[in-house]
Amino acid sequence: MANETKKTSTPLLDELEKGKWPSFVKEIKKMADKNPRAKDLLGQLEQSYKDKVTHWKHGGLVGVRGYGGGVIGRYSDSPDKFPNVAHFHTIRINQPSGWFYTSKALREICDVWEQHGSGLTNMHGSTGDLVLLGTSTDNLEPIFTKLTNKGWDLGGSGSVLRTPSCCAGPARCEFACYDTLDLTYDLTQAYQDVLHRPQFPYKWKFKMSGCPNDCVASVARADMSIIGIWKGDIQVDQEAVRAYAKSGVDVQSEICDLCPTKCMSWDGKDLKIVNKWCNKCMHCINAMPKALRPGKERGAAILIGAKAPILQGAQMSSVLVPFMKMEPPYKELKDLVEKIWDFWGEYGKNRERIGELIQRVGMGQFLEALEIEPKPQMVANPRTNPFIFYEEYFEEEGEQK
Amino acid sequence: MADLSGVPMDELQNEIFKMVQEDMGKKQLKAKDITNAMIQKFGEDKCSKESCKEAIRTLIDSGRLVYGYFGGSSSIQVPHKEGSEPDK
Repeated sequence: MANETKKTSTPLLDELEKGKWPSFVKEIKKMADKNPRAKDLLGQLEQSYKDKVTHWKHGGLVGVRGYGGGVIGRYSDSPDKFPNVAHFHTIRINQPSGWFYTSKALREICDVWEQHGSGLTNMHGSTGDLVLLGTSTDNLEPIFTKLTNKGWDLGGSGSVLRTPSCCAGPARCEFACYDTLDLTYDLTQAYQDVLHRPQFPYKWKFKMSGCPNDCVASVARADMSIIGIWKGDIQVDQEAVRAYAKSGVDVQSEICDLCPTKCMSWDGKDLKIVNKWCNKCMHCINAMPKALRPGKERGAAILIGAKAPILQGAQMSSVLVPFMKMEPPYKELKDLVEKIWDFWGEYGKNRERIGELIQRVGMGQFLEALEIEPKPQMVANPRTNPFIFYEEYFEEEGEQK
Repeated sequence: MADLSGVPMDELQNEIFKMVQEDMGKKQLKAKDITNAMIQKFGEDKCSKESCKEAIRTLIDSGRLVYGYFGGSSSIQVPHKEGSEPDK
Protein backbone atom coordinates (compact mmCIF):
# COMPACT_ATOMS: atom_id res chain seq x y z
CA MET A 1 0.00 0.00 0.00
CA ALA A 2 1.35 3.38 -0.93
CA ASN A 3 1.65 5.39 2.24
CA GLU A 4 1.61 8.85 0.78
CA THR A 5 -0.95 10.30 -1.55
CA LYS A 6 -1.28 13.81 -2.83
CA LYS A 7 -3.52 16.06 -0.81
CA THR A 8 -6.85 15.80 -2.53
CA SER A 9 -8.93 18.78 -3.41
CA THR A 10 -12.62 18.12 -2.83
CA PRO A 11 -14.80 21.11 -3.72
CA LEU A 12 -17.92 19.01 -4.34
CA LEU A 13 -17.60 17.02 -1.13
CA ASP A 14 -16.95 20.23 0.79
CA GLU A 15 -20.53 21.24 0.01
CA LEU A 16 -21.67 18.31 2.13
CA GLU A 17 -19.99 19.79 5.19
CA LYS A 18 -22.22 22.85 5.13
CA GLY A 19 -25.38 23.01 7.19
CA LYS A 20 -26.29 22.09 10.72
CA TRP A 21 -26.49 18.36 10.30
CA PRO A 22 -23.70 15.81 10.83
CA SER A 23 -21.48 15.28 7.83
CA PHE A 24 -19.87 12.01 6.80
CA VAL A 25 -17.37 14.05 4.79
CA LYS A 26 -16.26 15.85 7.93
CA GLU A 27 -15.73 12.51 9.66
CA ILE A 28 -13.76 11.01 6.76
CA LYS A 29 -11.59 14.13 6.64
CA LYS A 30 -10.75 13.73 10.33
CA MET A 31 -9.53 10.21 9.65
CA ALA A 32 -7.80 11.24 6.40
CA ASP A 33 -5.17 13.12 8.41
CA LYS A 34 -4.09 9.81 9.95
CA ASN A 35 -5.02 7.15 7.43
CA PRO A 36 -4.10 7.08 3.73
CA ARG A 37 -7.11 4.87 2.91
CA ALA A 38 -9.48 7.54 4.20
CA LYS A 39 -7.58 10.16 2.18
CA ASP A 40 -7.90 8.23 -1.08
CA LEU A 41 -11.53 7.50 -0.27
CA LEU A 42 -12.20 11.23 -0.32
CA GLY A 43 -10.36 11.52 -3.63
CA GLN A 44 -12.31 8.72 -5.27
CA LEU A 45 -15.63 9.97 -3.91
CA GLU A 46 -14.94 13.45 -5.27
CA GLN A 47 -14.12 11.84 -8.61
CA SER A 48 -17.45 9.96 -8.53
CA TYR A 49 -19.36 13.15 -7.83
CA LYS A 50 -17.55 14.82 -10.73
CA ASP A 51 -18.09 11.93 -13.16
CA LYS A 52 -21.59 11.14 -11.82
CA VAL A 53 -20.73 7.47 -11.78
CA THR A 54 -19.51 5.12 -9.06
CA HIS A 55 -15.89 4.03 -9.19
CA TRP A 56 -16.47 0.97 -7.03
CA LYS A 57 -16.59 -2.61 -8.26
CA HIS A 58 -18.61 -4.81 -5.95
CA GLY A 59 -18.59 -8.43 -4.87
CA GLY A 60 -16.19 -11.30 -5.39
CA LEU A 61 -14.52 -14.08 -3.52
CA VAL A 62 -13.09 -12.25 -0.55
CA GLY A 63 -13.77 -13.64 2.89
CA VAL A 64 -12.12 -15.55 5.65
CA ARG A 65 -11.47 -19.28 5.52
CA GLY A 66 -14.60 -21.35 6.15
CA TYR A 67 -16.97 -18.38 6.21
CA GLY A 68 -19.30 -17.45 3.38
CA GLY A 69 -20.48 -14.22 4.93
CA GLY A 70 -19.31 -11.20 6.85
CA VAL A 71 -17.05 -9.66 4.22
CA ILE A 72 -18.26 -7.69 1.21
CA GLY A 73 -15.66 -7.28 -1.49
CA ARG A 74 -15.14 -3.87 -2.99
CA TYR A 75 -12.47 -2.68 -5.42
CA SER A 76 -11.66 0.64 -7.01
CA ASP A 77 -11.84 0.86 -10.80
CA SER A 78 -9.10 3.49 -10.65
CA PRO A 79 -6.40 1.79 -8.56
CA ASP A 80 -3.61 3.73 -10.24
CA LYS A 81 -5.14 7.03 -9.25
CA PHE A 82 -6.24 5.93 -5.78
CA PRO A 83 -3.87 3.09 -4.76
CA ASN A 84 -4.85 3.09 -1.10
CA VAL A 85 -8.43 2.14 -1.92
CA ALA A 86 -7.59 -0.38 -4.64
CA HIS A 87 -9.19 -2.85 -2.21
CA PHE A 88 -11.81 -1.40 0.09
CA HIS A 89 -13.66 -4.37 1.57
CA THR A 90 -16.37 -4.04 4.18
CA ILE A 91 -16.44 -6.23 7.27
CA ARG A 92 -19.63 -6.88 9.20
CA ILE A 93 -19.28 -7.63 12.90
CA ASN A 94 -22.08 -9.40 14.74
CA GLN A 95 -23.38 -6.75 17.14
CA PRO A 96 -24.39 -7.61 20.69
CA SER A 97 -28.14 -7.93 21.31
CA GLY A 98 -29.71 -4.50 21.65
CA TRP A 99 -26.40 -2.79 20.68
CA PHE A 100 -25.06 -2.61 24.23
CA TYR A 101 -21.29 -2.14 24.30
CA THR A 102 -18.76 -1.31 26.93
CA SER A 103 -16.38 1.51 26.00
CA LYS A 104 -13.53 -1.01 26.44
CA ALA A 105 -15.05 -3.29 23.79
CA LEU A 106 -15.43 -0.40 21.36
CA ARG A 107 -11.84 0.68 21.94
CA GLU A 108 -10.63 -2.86 21.20
CA ILE A 109 -12.48 -2.92 17.89
CA CYS A 110 -11.25 0.54 16.94
CA ASP A 111 -7.64 -0.36 17.75
CA VAL A 112 -7.78 -3.41 15.47
CA TRP A 113 -9.49 -1.39 12.79
CA GLU A 114 -7.07 1.53 12.87
CA GLN A 115 -4.20 -0.93 12.53
CA HIS A 116 -5.66 -2.98 9.67
CA GLY A 117 -8.29 -0.83 7.99
CA SER A 118 -9.38 2.67 7.14
CA GLY A 119 -10.46 3.49 10.69
CA LEU A 120 -13.93 4.31 9.36
CA THR A 121 -16.96 2.57 10.81
CA ASN A 122 -20.69 2.57 10.31
CA MET A 123 -22.56 2.28 13.60
CA HIS A 124 -24.66 0.43 12.51
CA GLY A 125 -25.62 -1.04 9.14
CA SER A 126 -29.32 -1.41 8.38
CA THR A 127 -29.30 -5.10 9.31
CA GLY A 128 -27.78 -4.16 12.64
CA ASP A 129 -24.15 -5.21 12.28
CA LEU A 130 -21.28 -3.05 13.36
CA VAL A 131 -19.71 -2.25 10.00
CA LEU A 132 -16.00 -1.67 9.38
CA LEU A 133 -15.47 0.14 6.09
CA GLY A 134 -12.41 -0.40 3.95
CA THR A 135 -9.56 -2.86 4.14
CA SER A 136 -7.50 -4.99 1.78
CA THR A 137 -7.69 -8.74 1.18
CA ASP A 138 -4.40 -9.48 2.95
CA ASN A 139 -5.70 -7.84 6.13
CA LEU A 140 -8.87 -9.93 6.40
CA GLU A 141 -7.47 -12.97 8.20
CA PRO A 142 -5.42 -10.92 10.71
CA ILE A 143 -8.49 -8.80 11.52
CA PHE A 144 -10.65 -11.89 11.90
CA THR A 145 -8.11 -13.58 14.20
CA LYS A 146 -7.71 -10.51 16.39
CA LEU A 147 -11.45 -9.92 16.69
CA THR A 148 -12.35 -13.54 17.39
CA ASN A 149 -9.62 -13.68 20.06
CA LYS A 150 -11.50 -10.89 21.78
CA GLY A 151 -14.84 -12.70 21.51
CA TRP A 152 -16.26 -11.05 18.40
CA ASP A 153 -17.56 -12.84 15.33
CA LEU A 154 -18.42 -11.83 11.79
CA GLY A 155 -22.01 -11.07 10.86
CA GLY A 156 -23.93 -12.30 7.87
CA SER A 157 -23.82 -11.35 4.19
CA GLY A 158 -24.99 -13.15 1.08
CA SER A 159 -27.50 -16.00 1.05
CA VAL A 160 -27.33 -16.63 4.77
CA LEU A 161 -29.19 -15.93 7.95
CA ARG A 162 -28.33 -12.26 8.39
CA THR A 163 -27.24 -11.19 11.84
CA PRO A 164 -30.38 -11.26 13.99
CA SER A 165 -31.17 -7.93 15.64
CA CYS A 166 -33.57 -6.66 18.27
CA CYS A 167 -34.78 -3.62 20.16
CA ALA A 168 -33.43 -2.78 23.63
CA GLY A 169 -36.28 -4.88 25.02
CA PRO A 170 -36.64 -5.47 28.74
CA ALA A 171 -33.17 -3.99 29.30
CA ARG A 172 -34.59 -0.50 28.98
CA CYS A 173 -38.26 -0.68 28.10
CA GLU A 174 -41.24 -1.46 30.29
CA PHE A 175 -43.42 -2.36 27.30
CA ALA A 176 -41.34 -5.42 26.27
CA CYS A 177 -43.65 -8.43 26.09
CA TYR A 178 -40.76 -10.91 25.90
CA ASP A 179 -36.99 -10.96 26.29
CA THR A 180 -35.87 -9.80 22.84
CA LEU A 181 -32.21 -9.79 23.86
CA ASP A 182 -32.26 -13.39 24.98
CA LEU A 183 -34.11 -14.61 21.90
CA THR A 184 -31.69 -12.76 19.61
CA TYR A 185 -28.70 -14.29 21.35
CA ASP A 186 -30.32 -17.73 21.37
CA LEU A 187 -31.14 -17.69 17.64
CA THR A 188 -27.68 -16.35 16.81
CA GLN A 189 -26.05 -19.22 18.67
CA ALA A 190 -28.49 -21.89 17.50
CA TYR A 191 -28.12 -21.00 13.82
CA GLN A 192 -24.37 -20.33 13.55
CA ASP A 193 -24.09 -22.74 10.62
CA VAL A 194 -26.64 -20.97 8.41
CA LEU A 195 -25.27 -17.59 9.53
CA HIS A 196 -21.79 -18.32 8.24
CA ARG A 197 -22.34 -20.86 5.44
CA PRO A 198 -24.69 -19.78 2.66
CA GLN A 199 -27.39 -22.44 2.23
CA PHE A 200 -30.48 -20.40 1.43
CA PRO A 201 -31.91 -19.19 -1.89
CA TYR A 202 -31.29 -15.61 -0.67
CA LYS A 203 -31.00 -13.65 2.56
CA TRP A 204 -33.12 -14.27 5.66
CA LYS A 205 -33.59 -11.66 8.37
CA PHE A 206 -34.97 -12.09 11.87
CA LYS A 207 -35.88 -8.97 13.79
CA MET A 208 -37.17 -9.05 17.32
CA SER A 209 -39.36 -6.25 18.67
CA GLY A 210 -40.54 -6.35 22.24
CA CYS A 211 -43.92 -4.72 21.59
CA PRO A 212 -46.07 -3.49 18.70
CA ASN A 213 -44.22 -0.14 18.69
CA ASP A 214 -41.72 -2.21 16.68
CA CYS A 215 -38.68 -0.03 17.33
CA VAL A 216 -36.51 -2.13 14.99
CA ALA A 217 -39.07 -1.74 12.17
CA SER A 218 -39.23 -5.49 11.77
CA VAL A 219 -42.59 -5.33 10.03
CA ALA A 220 -40.98 -3.48 7.15
CA ARG A 221 -37.64 -5.24 6.91
CA ALA A 222 -37.53 -8.74 8.34
CA ASP A 223 -38.36 -11.97 6.60
CA MET A 224 -39.56 -13.06 10.01
CA SER A 225 -40.73 -10.35 12.39
CA ILE A 226 -41.16 -11.47 15.99
CA ILE A 227 -43.21 -8.76 17.65
CA GLY A 228 -44.13 -8.78 21.32
CA ILE A 229 -47.84 -8.80 22.02
CA TRP A 230 -50.27 -9.63 24.82
CA LYS A 231 -53.49 -11.52 25.22
CA GLY A 232 -56.35 -10.30 27.34
CA ASP A 233 -57.02 -6.87 28.77
CA ILE A 234 -54.80 -3.80 28.82
CA GLN A 235 -53.90 -3.10 32.45
CA VAL A 236 -55.48 0.18 33.55
CA ASP A 237 -54.71 2.25 36.63
CA GLN A 238 -57.78 4.52 36.77
CA GLU A 239 -56.18 6.79 39.38
CA ALA A 240 -53.25 7.41 37.08
CA VAL A 241 -55.61 8.12 34.14
CA ARG A 242 -57.38 10.73 36.27
CA ALA A 243 -53.97 12.19 37.19
CA TYR A 244 -53.12 12.53 33.46
CA ALA A 245 -56.46 14.29 32.90
CA LYS A 246 -55.79 16.61 35.83
CA SER A 247 -52.35 17.48 34.52
CA GLY A 248 -53.82 18.64 31.20
CA VAL A 249 -54.13 15.57 28.98
CA ASP A 250 -57.43 15.70 27.09
CA VAL A 251 -58.21 12.00 27.42
CA GLN A 252 -61.18 12.20 25.07
CA SER A 253 -59.50 13.93 22.13
CA GLU A 254 -55.89 12.80 22.63
CA ILE A 255 -56.56 9.19 23.56
CA CYS A 256 -60.09 7.97 22.79
CA ASP A 257 -60.61 9.87 19.54
CA LEU A 258 -57.22 8.77 18.20
CA CYS A 259 -57.84 5.09 18.92
CA PRO A 260 -58.04 3.44 15.47
CA THR A 261 -60.67 0.91 16.55
CA LYS A 262 -62.57 3.34 18.84
CA CYS A 263 -62.43 0.74 21.56
CA MET A 264 -62.24 3.17 24.48
CA SER A 265 -64.43 5.73 26.12
CA TRP A 266 -63.87 8.33 28.86
CA ASP A 267 -66.61 9.72 31.08
CA GLY A 268 -64.35 12.13 32.95
CA LYS A 269 -63.84 9.59 35.72
CA ASP A 270 -63.05 6.18 34.26
CA LEU A 271 -61.44 4.98 31.07
CA LYS A 272 -63.34 2.02 29.69
CA ILE A 273 -61.80 -0.29 27.09
CA VAL A 274 -63.55 -2.89 24.96
CA ASN A 275 -60.47 -5.07 24.78
CA LYS A 276 -61.79 -7.42 22.13
CA TRP A 277 -61.82 -4.50 19.68
CA CYS A 278 -58.27 -3.42 20.51
CA ASN A 279 -55.80 -3.98 17.66
CA LYS A 280 -52.76 -3.35 19.87
CA CYS A 281 -51.68 -0.14 18.14
CA MET A 282 -50.01 1.05 21.38
CA HIS A 283 -51.24 4.64 21.02
CA CYS A 284 -52.98 4.83 24.41
CA ILE A 285 -50.16 3.01 26.20
CA ASN A 286 -47.52 5.30 24.65
CA ALA A 287 -49.53 8.40 25.54
CA MET A 288 -50.22 7.42 29.16
CA PRO A 289 -47.44 4.98 30.14
CA LYS A 290 -48.02 5.49 33.87
CA ALA A 291 -51.70 4.57 33.56
CA LEU A 292 -51.77 1.81 30.95
CA ARG A 293 -49.71 -1.32 30.48
CA PRO A 294 -49.86 -4.26 28.08
CA GLY A 295 -51.91 -7.22 29.33
CA LYS A 296 -50.43 -9.80 31.67
CA GLU A 297 -50.36 -12.81 29.33
CA ARG A 298 -47.49 -11.93 27.05
CA GLY A 299 -45.75 -13.50 24.07
CA ALA A 300 -45.13 -12.59 20.44
CA ALA A 301 -46.87 -12.47 17.09
CA ILE A 302 -44.89 -14.05 14.25
CA LEU A 303 -45.09 -12.20 10.97
CA ILE A 304 -43.57 -13.26 7.70
CA GLY A 305 -42.35 -11.86 4.42
CA ALA A 306 -41.18 -8.26 4.70
CA LYS A 307 -38.42 -6.97 2.48
CA ALA A 308 -36.94 -3.80 1.06
CA PRO A 309 -37.24 -3.11 -2.67
CA ILE A 310 -34.19 -4.86 -4.12
CA LEU A 311 -35.39 -7.21 -6.84
CA GLN A 312 -39.12 -6.57 -6.53
CA GLY A 313 -41.03 -3.87 -4.65
CA ALA A 314 -41.04 -3.39 -0.91
CA GLN A 315 -43.31 -5.62 1.10
CA MET A 316 -44.58 -5.50 4.68
CA SER A 317 -44.77 -8.69 6.67
CA SER A 318 -48.10 -10.29 7.46
CA VAL A 319 -49.31 -12.33 10.42
CA LEU A 320 -48.41 -16.01 10.39
CA VAL A 321 -48.91 -16.90 14.05
CA PRO A 322 -51.04 -14.41 16.00
CA PHE A 323 -49.68 -15.41 19.40
CA MET A 324 -46.85 -17.64 20.56
CA LYS A 325 -45.36 -17.92 24.03
CA MET A 326 -41.77 -16.74 23.77
CA GLU A 327 -39.77 -18.56 26.41
CA PRO A 328 -36.51 -20.51 26.33
CA PRO A 329 -35.63 -22.83 24.69
CA TYR A 330 -37.99 -21.39 22.02
CA LYS A 331 -38.69 -24.84 20.59
CA GLU A 332 -42.04 -23.96 19.02
CA LEU A 333 -40.48 -21.01 17.21
CA LYS A 334 -37.45 -22.97 16.03
CA ASP A 335 -39.62 -25.82 14.73
CA LEU A 336 -41.64 -23.32 12.73
CA VAL A 337 -38.54 -21.57 11.39
CA GLU A 338 -36.94 -24.82 10.26
CA LYS A 339 -40.15 -25.92 8.55
CA ILE A 340 -40.26 -22.63 6.64
CA TRP A 341 -36.58 -22.92 5.69
CA ASP A 342 -37.21 -26.42 4.33
CA PHE A 343 -40.12 -25.17 2.23
CA TRP A 344 -38.13 -22.18 1.00
CA GLY A 345 -35.08 -24.34 0.24
CA GLU A 346 -37.25 -26.73 -1.74
CA TYR A 347 -39.34 -24.28 -3.74
CA GLY A 348 -37.54 -20.93 -3.57
CA LYS A 349 -35.91 -19.66 -6.74
CA ASN A 350 -32.44 -18.19 -6.72
CA ARG A 351 -32.57 -14.73 -5.08
CA GLU A 352 -36.18 -15.13 -4.04
CA ARG A 353 -37.06 -13.92 -0.54
CA ILE A 354 -39.63 -15.87 1.46
CA GLY A 355 -42.19 -13.07 1.01
CA GLU A 356 -41.84 -13.27 -2.75
CA LEU A 357 -42.18 -17.04 -2.68
CA ILE A 358 -45.38 -16.77 -0.63
CA GLN A 359 -46.69 -14.22 -3.09
CA ARG A 360 -45.84 -16.54 -5.99
CA VAL A 361 -47.34 -19.75 -4.60
CA GLY A 362 -50.10 -18.09 -2.57
CA MET A 363 -50.56 -17.84 1.18
CA GLY A 364 -53.03 -20.76 1.09
CA GLN A 365 -50.46 -23.15 -0.36
CA PHE A 366 -47.84 -21.91 2.05
CA LEU A 367 -50.05 -22.43 5.10
CA GLU A 368 -51.05 -25.86 3.88
CA ALA A 369 -47.42 -26.89 3.41
CA LEU A 370 -46.62 -25.70 6.91
CA GLU A 371 -49.76 -27.31 8.32
CA ILE A 372 -50.87 -24.02 9.86
CA GLU A 373 -54.59 -23.34 10.27
CA PRO A 374 -55.76 -20.05 8.72
CA LYS A 375 -56.68 -17.51 11.38
CA PRO A 376 -58.68 -14.27 11.16
CA GLN A 377 -55.63 -12.28 12.27
CA MET A 378 -53.88 -13.26 9.02
CA VAL A 379 -56.38 -11.20 7.04
CA ALA A 380 -54.86 -7.80 6.38
CA ASN A 381 -57.82 -6.42 4.42
CA PRO A 382 -61.35 -7.52 3.59
CA ARG A 383 -61.23 -9.35 0.29
CA THR A 384 -61.95 -7.32 -2.80
CA ASN A 385 -61.83 -10.28 -5.19
CA PRO A 386 -64.98 -12.43 -5.03
CA PHE A 387 -63.33 -15.17 -7.11
CA ILE A 388 -61.68 -16.82 -4.15
CA PHE A 389 -62.92 -20.28 -3.32
CA TYR A 390 -62.20 -22.48 -0.39
CA GLU A 391 -61.45 -26.17 -0.38
CA GLU A 392 -64.69 -26.93 1.47
CA TYR A 393 -66.57 -25.19 -1.32
CA PHE A 394 -65.06 -27.50 -3.91
CA GLU A 395 -65.62 -30.54 -1.74
CA GLU A 396 -69.27 -29.65 -1.26
CA GLU A 397 -69.66 -28.98 -4.96
CA GLY A 398 -67.96 -32.30 -5.77
CA GLU A 399 -70.19 -34.14 -3.35
CA GLN A 400 -73.28 -32.57 -4.88
CA LYS A 401 -72.19 -33.69 -8.31
CA MET B 1 -13.79 -42.63 4.72
CA ALA B 2 -17.15 -44.27 4.11
CA ASP B 3 -20.34 -42.30 4.10
CA LEU B 4 -23.36 -43.82 5.82
CA SER B 5 -25.66 -43.08 2.90
CA GLY B 6 -23.52 -45.11 0.51
CA VAL B 7 -21.36 -42.76 -1.54
CA PRO B 8 -17.83 -42.53 -0.11
CA MET B 9 -17.18 -38.99 1.12
CA ASP B 10 -14.06 -38.60 -1.03
CA GLU B 11 -15.99 -39.54 -4.14
CA LEU B 12 -18.81 -37.17 -3.27
CA GLN B 13 -16.36 -34.32 -2.70
CA ASN B 14 -14.63 -34.98 -5.99
CA GLU B 15 -17.95 -35.04 -7.84
CA ILE B 16 -18.97 -31.76 -6.26
CA PHE B 17 -15.63 -30.18 -7.08
CA LYS B 18 -15.91 -31.40 -10.68
CA MET B 19 -19.41 -29.98 -11.01
CA VAL B 20 -18.39 -26.57 -9.68
CA GLN B 21 -15.31 -26.53 -11.89
CA GLU B 22 -17.29 -27.42 -15.01
CA ASP B 23 -19.90 -24.73 -14.33
CA MET B 24 -17.35 -22.00 -13.63
CA GLY B 25 -18.20 -18.87 -15.58
CA LYS B 26 -21.51 -20.36 -16.75
CA LYS B 27 -23.58 -20.73 -13.62
CA GLN B 28 -23.49 -19.38 -10.08
CA LEU B 29 -24.03 -22.59 -8.15
CA LYS B 30 -25.60 -22.56 -4.71
CA ALA B 31 -25.37 -25.31 -2.11
CA LYS B 32 -28.94 -26.28 -2.99
CA ASP B 33 -28.14 -26.71 -6.72
CA ILE B 34 -25.18 -28.91 -5.87
CA THR B 35 -27.14 -31.00 -3.38
CA ASN B 36 -30.00 -31.56 -5.81
CA ALA B 37 -27.58 -32.54 -8.58
CA MET B 38 -25.71 -35.01 -6.36
CA ILE B 39 -28.92 -36.63 -5.10
CA GLN B 40 -30.08 -36.96 -8.68
CA LYS B 41 -26.77 -38.44 -9.73
CA PHE B 42 -26.34 -40.98 -6.94
CA GLY B 43 -29.94 -41.53 -5.93
CA GLU B 44 -31.72 -40.65 -2.70
CA ASP B 45 -30.84 -43.99 -1.13
CA LYS B 46 -27.11 -43.40 -1.52
CA CYS B 47 -26.74 -39.67 -1.15
CA SER B 48 -28.48 -37.39 1.36
CA LYS B 49 -28.74 -33.66 1.98
CA GLU B 50 -26.66 -34.14 5.12
CA SER B 51 -23.81 -35.91 3.34
CA CYS B 52 -23.75 -33.20 0.65
CA LYS B 53 -23.69 -30.53 3.35
CA GLU B 54 -20.76 -32.25 5.03
CA ALA B 55 -18.90 -32.65 1.73
CA ILE B 56 -19.37 -28.97 0.86
CA ARG B 57 -18.24 -27.94 4.33
CA THR B 58 -15.05 -30.02 3.99
CA LEU B 59 -14.33 -28.61 0.54
CA ILE B 60 -14.78 -25.05 1.81
CA ASP B 61 -12.77 -25.59 4.99
CA SER B 62 -9.91 -27.12 2.99
CA GLY B 63 -9.92 -24.18 0.58
CA ARG B 64 -10.59 -26.31 -2.53
CA LEU B 65 -13.82 -24.39 -2.99
CA VAL B 66 -14.77 -20.93 -1.79
CA TYR B 67 -17.91 -18.89 -1.34
CA GLY B 68 -18.40 -16.03 -3.78
CA TYR B 69 -20.68 -13.06 -3.25
CA PHE B 70 -22.45 -10.65 -5.52
CA GLY B 71 -25.43 -8.38 -4.98
CA GLY B 72 -26.44 -9.91 -1.69
CA SER B 73 -26.38 -13.44 -3.05
CA SER B 74 -23.77 -16.19 -2.55
CA SER B 75 -22.46 -19.00 -4.69
CA ILE B 76 -19.84 -21.73 -4.47
CA GLN B 77 -16.84 -21.36 -6.72
CA VAL B 78 -13.35 -22.66 -7.44
CA PRO B 79 -10.77 -20.16 -6.09
CA HIS B 80 -9.55 -17.90 -8.84
CA LYS B 81 -8.21 -14.43 -9.31
CA GLU B 82 -11.13 -12.12 -9.66
CA GLY B 83 -11.58 -9.99 -12.73
CA SER B 84 -12.39 -7.01 -10.53
CA GLU B 85 -9.27 -7.39 -8.42
CA PRO B 86 -6.52 -5.01 -9.48
CA ASP B 87 -3.06 -6.34 -10.33
CA LYS B 88 -0.63 -5.84 -7.50
